[in-house]
Amino acid sequence: MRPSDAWFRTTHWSVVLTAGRSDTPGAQAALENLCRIYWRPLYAYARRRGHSPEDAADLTQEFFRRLLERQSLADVHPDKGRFRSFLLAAMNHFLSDAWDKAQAKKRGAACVIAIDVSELETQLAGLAGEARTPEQAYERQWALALLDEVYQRLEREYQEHGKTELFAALRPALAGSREAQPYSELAQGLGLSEGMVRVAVHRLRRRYREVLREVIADSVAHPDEVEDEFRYLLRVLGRG
Amino acid sequence: MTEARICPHCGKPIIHTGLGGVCPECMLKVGTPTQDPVDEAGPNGTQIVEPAGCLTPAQIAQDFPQIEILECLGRGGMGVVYRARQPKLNRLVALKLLAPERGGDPRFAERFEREAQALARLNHPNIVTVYDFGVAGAHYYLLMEFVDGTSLRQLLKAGSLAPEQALAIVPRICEALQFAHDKGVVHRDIKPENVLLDKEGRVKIADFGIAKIIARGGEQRALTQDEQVIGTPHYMAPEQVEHPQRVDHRADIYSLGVVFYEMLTGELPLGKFAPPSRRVQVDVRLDEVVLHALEKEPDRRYQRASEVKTDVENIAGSPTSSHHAASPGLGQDQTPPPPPNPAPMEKLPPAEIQGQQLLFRSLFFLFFGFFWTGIGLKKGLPWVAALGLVITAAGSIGLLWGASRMQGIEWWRKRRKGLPEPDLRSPGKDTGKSPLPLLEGSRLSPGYSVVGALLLVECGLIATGIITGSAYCLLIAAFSSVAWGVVSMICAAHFLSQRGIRIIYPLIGLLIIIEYLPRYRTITLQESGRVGPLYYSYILAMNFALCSAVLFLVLHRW
Repeated sequence: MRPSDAWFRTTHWSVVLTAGRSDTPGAQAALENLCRIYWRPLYAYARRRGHSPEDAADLTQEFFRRLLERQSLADVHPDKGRFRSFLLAAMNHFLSDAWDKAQAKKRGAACVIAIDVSELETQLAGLAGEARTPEQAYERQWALALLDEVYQRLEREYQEHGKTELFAALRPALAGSREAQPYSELAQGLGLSEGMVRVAVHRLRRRYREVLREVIADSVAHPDEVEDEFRYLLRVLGRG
Repeated sequence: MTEARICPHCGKPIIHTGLGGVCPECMLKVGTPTQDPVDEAGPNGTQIVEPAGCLTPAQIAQDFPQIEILECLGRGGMGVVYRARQPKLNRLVALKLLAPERGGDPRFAERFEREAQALARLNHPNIVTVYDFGVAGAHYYLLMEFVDGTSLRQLLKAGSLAPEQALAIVPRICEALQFAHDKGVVHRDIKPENVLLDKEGRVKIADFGIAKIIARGGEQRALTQDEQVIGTPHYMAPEQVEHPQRVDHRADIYSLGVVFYEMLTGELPLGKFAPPSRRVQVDVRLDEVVLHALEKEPDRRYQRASEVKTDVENIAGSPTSSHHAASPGLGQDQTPPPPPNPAPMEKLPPAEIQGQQLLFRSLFFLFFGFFWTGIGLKKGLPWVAALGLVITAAGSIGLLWGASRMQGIEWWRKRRKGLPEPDLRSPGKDTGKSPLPLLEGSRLSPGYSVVGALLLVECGLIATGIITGSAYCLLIAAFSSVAWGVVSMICAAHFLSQRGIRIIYPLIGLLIIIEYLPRYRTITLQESGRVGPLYYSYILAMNFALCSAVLFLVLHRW
């Protein structure tokens, strides 16, 4: 019920498509925001395709630069489906087509967004032992990027309501079942009654599910696909 | 930076550094909509209020110096319930604490007081009485009658509720609901947990209207994001989910339908559900009642809880109840399980026996009446004839009344064992909804009153005609008798076609013959001058009694 109600919000797709056509002031900012969320999957993909960290970072920047300048948007005609597939297709297209030109160009093109690869490199190194195709790396990073976005939105919401501490204390409850989460301990730490903690955890989880679905809904073409995409993400992360 | 942390839930190392250290895989799993369904998100995105923690009796004792708090009985969606004792009165009470997190909300306080006052006025044997309410310390509380027994939920969990018990419990729920609805109180959260049975088997409905107290906002505010739809999703009427502001007493009737269905089948009527008789061995006529209560549109549902009660009691009181195997899979060798609970249920009214007695007495009256009418006419004694006619009329009314008491058609069917059960299994447009709203309902519906009144007028006309010899009266009676014949035939045809009985046309033919042949014969005789108007009236009266009989039977089963 909820995704269809919320469907008239701007989705990633509509951001990209309006950015391709018009100069709506908000569109640019929205597009930049997308880049900020999704640079990791693209970087990981480039890395697994065999580019060095520096090259991969440059390529990602260049890809985004083109995206922001809407150069690549005219070229790519994806099936209107998952935003995830679109971005990957666009990246593929960019890598095969633009690599030569990018090579020829001077390195270190202007930074479009801030990319800190060190942390991501650590992660990739940690997973280096496992056989992982570029696509799998991309998918995993995609799922993580979505979750990060959800987490940050939640955190922002709690901050706006002046509940930063509460969020920090309840955060572990986002990952655990009720049994694994002794409310009594949380209650002591927060100086609340156990019942109040239970209610707070319930609300946090409920809101989390809502935000998670909002974020997923942004990345698919139709609200019906949200649950499918969610299961897909579960599978992706389940691969470890 | 590089040290790998281990997720305490899944035991895998957490490589990802975002998310405040939360394991991404576990976090995504928490996002599963079905996660922890007991107290988390319900279906359709509706939310159940998470119950408050159960404080120990010692923790709340200081707030309630006037009562002894004995133990925590449990948490419900609406709060925490304690068993307590009032030392002065030496009686056990139930103490319910509501929504502790709402302590500071002045609108909540106001609504709480208003609703609690309404609840305190609900004084009915089948409703848990509210003794007192108020605020103590940080708690809004209700002090209520303590019901020593079990809840319907526990009986259902034991899985051994016999259909007979369901048929005894439902009318009591209906009485309680009707009583509250008459006082303008809607329960809003009828579910097996709120239907209690004490040790004597008495039914008590708990938590009347508490849903409304808890509900955020009330009527004025539109639903916002953090607005909570209060109720228990599976038992909520569709309009309760979609337009919580517009809920009226018919939402309770829907919830009652769900509870009834669950009592009969042990399952919830989810999605495209089968009528109860398809799932278990129950009377097929109950399908009609359950489906009518479960109509999605409030306007198509039963409009009053008392109507459900009447229908259920009629079915329970008729001889065919509960022994018609609807599923041949359950063989005859399987006897229905004995009632699990030794608690005596309220005795079902012996409507069947009463009906039978009434029927046979009336038959006697009828023939007695015909006999005296005939004698009176033949000997030219108008007063005797009139008296006979009155007896006839009384007899026919009694006959019909008795037949309706014992579900005339069903009785007739039982007599003719070869006939199959009527097929009521096509739910939908013909379930219980009469095309003539006037005739809707059962034994005491307005339809009966109208028919009864017409019957009396008709009798009066004929009697007057006979006594005074007024041709006008007889003429009017003759015309209205034709109307009776037509109406009864239409009703009969409709009734039979609804039940898929194929003998409609021969039956209509037969009725026409019975109705018009004697009349035609009388008219020809009268024209030839061989009989007078009295004889004509006599034929008319017999005719009329027959038509009324058909009409009444049809009306009752419609």
